[in-house]
Amino acid sequence: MSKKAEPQILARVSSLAKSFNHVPAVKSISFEIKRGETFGLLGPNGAGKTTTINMLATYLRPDSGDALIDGKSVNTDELEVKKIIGFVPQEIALYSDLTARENLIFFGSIYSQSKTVIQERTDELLEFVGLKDETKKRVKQFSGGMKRRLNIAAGLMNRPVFLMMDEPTVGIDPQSRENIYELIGRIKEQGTTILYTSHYMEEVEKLCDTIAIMDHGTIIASGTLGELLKLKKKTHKVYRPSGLEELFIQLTGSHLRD
Amino acid sequence: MLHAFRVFKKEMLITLRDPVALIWLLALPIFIIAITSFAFSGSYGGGKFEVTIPVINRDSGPMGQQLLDAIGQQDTLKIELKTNDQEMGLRQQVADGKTVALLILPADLTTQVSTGKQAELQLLTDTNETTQLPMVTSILGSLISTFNSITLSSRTVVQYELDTQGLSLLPQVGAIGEQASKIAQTLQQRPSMLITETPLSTTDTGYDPVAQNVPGYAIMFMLFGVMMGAEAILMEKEEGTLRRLLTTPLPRWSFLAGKLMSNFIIGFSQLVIIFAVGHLIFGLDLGSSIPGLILISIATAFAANAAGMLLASFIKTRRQLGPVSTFFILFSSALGGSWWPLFITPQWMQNIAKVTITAWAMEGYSNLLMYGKGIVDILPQVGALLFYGAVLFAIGLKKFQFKES
Repeated sequence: MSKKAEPQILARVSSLAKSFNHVPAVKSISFEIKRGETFGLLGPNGAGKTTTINMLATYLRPDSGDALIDGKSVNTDELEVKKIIGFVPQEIALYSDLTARENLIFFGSIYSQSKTVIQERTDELLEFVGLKDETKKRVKQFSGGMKRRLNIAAGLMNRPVFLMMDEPTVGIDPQSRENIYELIGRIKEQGTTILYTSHYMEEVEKLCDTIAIMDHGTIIASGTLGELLKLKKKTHKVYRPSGLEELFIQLTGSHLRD
Repeated sequence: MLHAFRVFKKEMLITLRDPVALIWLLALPIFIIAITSFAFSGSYGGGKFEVTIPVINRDSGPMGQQLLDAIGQQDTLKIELKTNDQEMGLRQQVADGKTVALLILPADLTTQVSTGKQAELQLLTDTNETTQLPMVTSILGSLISTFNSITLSSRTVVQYELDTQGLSLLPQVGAIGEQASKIAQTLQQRPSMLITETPLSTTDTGYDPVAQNVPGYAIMFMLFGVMMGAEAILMEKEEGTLRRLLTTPLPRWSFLAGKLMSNFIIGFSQLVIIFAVGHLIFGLDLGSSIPGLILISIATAFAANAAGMLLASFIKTRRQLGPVSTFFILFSSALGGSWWPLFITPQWMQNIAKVTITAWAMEGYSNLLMYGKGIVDILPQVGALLFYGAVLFAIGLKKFQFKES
């Protein structure tokens, strides 16, 4: 079978579970992410998206189950996993008193790369995220969109094969959001596999090849957008589906999630 | 270790980016040291000052009364005439620290001075009193000196009158000057009036306000600096940078080691700078052992850093840290002797004070700066601070939560 017909699996998640104070946040979920694809994890607040991504990023240790990233276990090969992943947290996880360049150099230095490699990668990424003319400004002087772009760049310093992005467009204006979509598209073009969590339907529709909808710690539906919409037609009494949002509401309910 | 150094470098860069906070941490103690040193030391002069001392005048001649009249003509030192039978009670008052000094004019004051002999005035003092006593001795010294000059002039004239059998003095000015010079030499060797100071206090504390205030406020503001470091750790947690770092190959111990190294360097530098300013501007005597000062400062910065680590481990948010750390610092400073010397506090307070880093550090600094002790003498305090720091570090590191539970 050709590689194109059956893409390699980069991340294989098996029965992953995590509880906090005996309250289950993620209940034995399993899914696979193909190499080079953008995988969207969609769900309302408290669905378990961030806990899942935290476990895959080795920030949290699973209570049970495992996840293999490029064949390396998050349980047993934690350091090896850390070396090949990139993580873009929901927060602007940057040092606001440092400049964009200083931030990237610091995060790059953690991967034991040479000074020259770090400098080159820093320049490359500053250009990539459109901040090469803002290198002397401190991050606290940046706009929300600039901070978000730098937040993404910091996750790319080690040229990760697997980039995890936890709601990377929260709190920014539509122009900046469009800019970030474009940026993510270019990251994907470079062959990076992306795990993307969000509760914005439009961006998941736009960016993701495969989508998993999570609620109450479990994956309640997954597949390509087309597959999910077909699923909607088959399993729910809704005529003429208008899109992912309608399916999302139908699957997760319309009650508030605070 | 290289990772820890990278975190350290980043921390130093961030700290130096906000120099205002650092400047305040240095400027405030210097400002407060200045105020308290002025306030607690009469030798620095300043506003209206008045002190009253009891005097027993045993002299039946005019000299004693003239001296008392001269004292009465100035505004600062006031006297209360007492009788011989009150002497024992007054001595006890001085010994108990209730009266700053007792002046006794001898019975033979007039006789001695008028016959060219030396009269000895007794000043019984409470040497633990550092605010008024320097003023009393300074004024009395100045008055006695004036009296000695007058005595010199009088004796010169009288002597010349005797030598020339009452002839006119005017044509003989040069000879009078020669005579005066001879008598002045004699007076220099043995002045007519001499004040003998006798300390009556039960113990000599060697108290020096600058040697108290400089280390006291340096430690207090170093604790504030260290708390900023603890806040920086909590900030990494709250702002998500710690989460990001924990998904990288950075070892956890490197994160804390880098942070703590940076906090330690800042705390230690703060002590060094404040002591340097204390020495250069306030005339602080650095004692006989600079290595001892460095050693106690290292131990103090280490222990304070450990306390910061402990707080960062038990406190969950920066909002909580503010009031808790302020309470901790003010409590340690008050109890541990940053604001006043521990020896003036009751014994039970001195015993309790040993639970604070400040008390051990102040004891070490006082030994070096006030009592002229050396490095070997402060080893118990250094040991206590290092032990204290090690215990707090161990608890802090054990309890520190890198991740949400």
